[in-house]
Amino acid sequence: MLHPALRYVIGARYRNRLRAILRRLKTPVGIIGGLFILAIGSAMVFGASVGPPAPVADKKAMLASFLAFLLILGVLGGIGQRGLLFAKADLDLVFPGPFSRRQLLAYYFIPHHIAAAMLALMYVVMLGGRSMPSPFLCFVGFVLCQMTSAHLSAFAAELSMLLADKIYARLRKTTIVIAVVVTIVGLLAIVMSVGGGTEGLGSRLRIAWDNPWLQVLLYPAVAAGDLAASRGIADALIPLSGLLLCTAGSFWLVALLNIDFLESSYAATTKFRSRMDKAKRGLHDTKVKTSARGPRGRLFTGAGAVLWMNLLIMRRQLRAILGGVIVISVMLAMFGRQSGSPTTILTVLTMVPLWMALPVGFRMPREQLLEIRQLPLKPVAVVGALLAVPTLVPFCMQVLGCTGLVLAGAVAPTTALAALPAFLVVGTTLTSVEALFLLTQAEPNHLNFLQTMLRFLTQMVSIAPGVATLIVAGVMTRDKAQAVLLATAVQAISAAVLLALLGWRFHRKELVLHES
Amino acid sequence: MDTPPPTLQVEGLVKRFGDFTAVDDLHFACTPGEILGLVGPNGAGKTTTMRCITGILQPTAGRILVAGTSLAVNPMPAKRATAFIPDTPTPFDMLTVLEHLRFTALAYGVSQAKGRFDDLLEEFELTEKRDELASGLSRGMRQKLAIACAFLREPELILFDEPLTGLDPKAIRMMRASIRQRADAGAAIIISSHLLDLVEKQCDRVLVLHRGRTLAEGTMDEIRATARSDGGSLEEAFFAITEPDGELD
Repeated sequence: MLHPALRYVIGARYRNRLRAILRRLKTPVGIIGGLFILAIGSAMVFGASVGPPAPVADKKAMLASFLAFLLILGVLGGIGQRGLLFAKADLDLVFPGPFSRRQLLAYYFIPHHIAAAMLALMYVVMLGGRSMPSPFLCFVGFVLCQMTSAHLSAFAAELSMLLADKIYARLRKTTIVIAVVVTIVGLLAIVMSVGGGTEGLGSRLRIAWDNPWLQVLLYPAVAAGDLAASRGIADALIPLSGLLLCTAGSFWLVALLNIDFLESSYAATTKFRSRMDKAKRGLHDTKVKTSARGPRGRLFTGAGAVLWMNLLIMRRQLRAILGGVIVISVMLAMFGRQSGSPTTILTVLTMVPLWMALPVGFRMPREQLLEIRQLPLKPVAVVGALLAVPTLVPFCMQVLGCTGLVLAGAVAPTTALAALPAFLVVGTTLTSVEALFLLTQAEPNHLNFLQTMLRFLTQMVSIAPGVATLIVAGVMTRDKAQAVLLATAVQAISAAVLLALLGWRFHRKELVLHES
Repeated sequence: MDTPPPTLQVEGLVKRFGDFTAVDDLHFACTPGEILGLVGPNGAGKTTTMRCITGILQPTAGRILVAGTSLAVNPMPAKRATAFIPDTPTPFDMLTVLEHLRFTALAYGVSQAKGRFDDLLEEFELTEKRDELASGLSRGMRQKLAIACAFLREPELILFDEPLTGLDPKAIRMMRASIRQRADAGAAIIISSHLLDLVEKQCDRVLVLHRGRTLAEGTMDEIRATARSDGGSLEEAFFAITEPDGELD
């Protein structure tokens, strides 16, 4: 079914990607990144094997829930895209080629199925799949369910192509609402499992799966769970047959709808890739109908103009940022409820700048940073203007969070007040380190896992002086407030050094521009 | 002398996106060995027309025949006969230059392709880059790679969307010679460009589009006659046709 040329492309892509990864592993950054990933993997493998083993029925319910979550999001995503998503190069090189609809469908699905197999392997090796009665059947169930999910997602996309524009617009809104609700419920379940142990969550999910409607509607996920929990061929026969039927049937559905998907997929892919390009730079899709009025006041003259520009970008990305703030707040609230300790809550709150990916300051595109650098302004003022928004916005959120905690009686007012300078100093440190990291990266990409992890590691190292002082002072003085103030002072010196380094790096060293 | 049957025939092509009509009742043809220039301001429908001819976009109405085959009825032979070089080619990031040529040879069933790889790499100055990933190529190199892939299979119809973008002067000269050479070998060529000088020098006939409609079509002399600018450049004729009420400097 797959054309030899398309098979060749898929093979060459994977082969070259593997080679590129191996080549990168020979560089110092690659070695650090590789070790870091290895450490995370080992921690996950180790974490999955410590503690009392959960009952198989609970683990089955958790696996089925996870797969159901992916299945629902897959179908909703299909409706939302209204086209199949291909690589950008496919639009130029594959779409005009002499390939039949079925060949293109096979070409579309194979990378999805390979990704499903990789995810299943990760689940079996690193997570709960290893302790299932049959890890192999768990793997098979996971892959088949994910294959069905990919087929159903494509089928939903094809169906949405058939709808009139007005009907589709309404359907899309409903889809987005459901997707948001499902995502929040999923995130809450993850937070609950982190804070309260998986045992309780597993038994709660097991009860939820008793609902016959859920069992029918989300059958592929249920069957994958049953297959993973089966103890022999006899047990596995029914769920395996069911899953195979689902996989083949769902593909048959996609093939049955004889729709020419090239045009819709062309539009969907172009739109999606443009969004991804923006996301790599930390930007979200936004539409602007009117221009903003010029700022008033002396604050916004000179380097203040850079600050104004950053505030403007922030305002235009407000919806996405607010969405992120709500998700972070919900997760913090859930985490706080589970942990209960004010120290833990405040520590987590200190790390808010790490999670807030604002598309401003040094996260702006390299070309724009170059233009800003060439402005006839004092370097210190420019760096300050660039850092102000990404530092102060998380700080405002931290202040709000502290106020909430004080009002809820979870944290004493004096403790919250003592924490505020620490928030600001740590925030400045983390933002400065991120800025330095972005400036030294050849091609900053906010969606690159390795880059993000390395940045995270460097940021953690950068707050080590403050943390070390806090520990030592805490042990020596036994006065928490005094220890926090001392640690803040030490960290402030560290932040000042970093700011000076950032100013020097930004103005004295060359910024590499990449041709796209 | 008999006129050869057209390689491309576009009859009453209409393309709408919702309420917006991008191409409106377009009729034109391109014969073997002919270079047709497609000119018009931004949003004239040039790229949409080209994407309809490649089969990526579905025409709302009308008929497209490539090498005598209807694109709608029998797309495979029509697609096999057509090559499209977009204005900003996007090669596969994870494939090398040579692998792109191999893919093209496999996709279009090019016989004796291996022997031609080296010639094409040489012609487009890509020999040194043959084993480099396309993600590392400059814009101009990507453009050359796309053209090399198109030329490898010797298509009957070649569509160029802004072919000279990103090329250095030497490459521009080489490209112009290459396009002429392909036309002389019998390929029908369509060039969509804002570079009116290129169109004037390179094309045998010109089609002036504006808001999806044909404003003028013919040889350079016929276009000048339509614009009533005898002896003037294509640029003058273009503005006279597309902005009849506007003033020219």
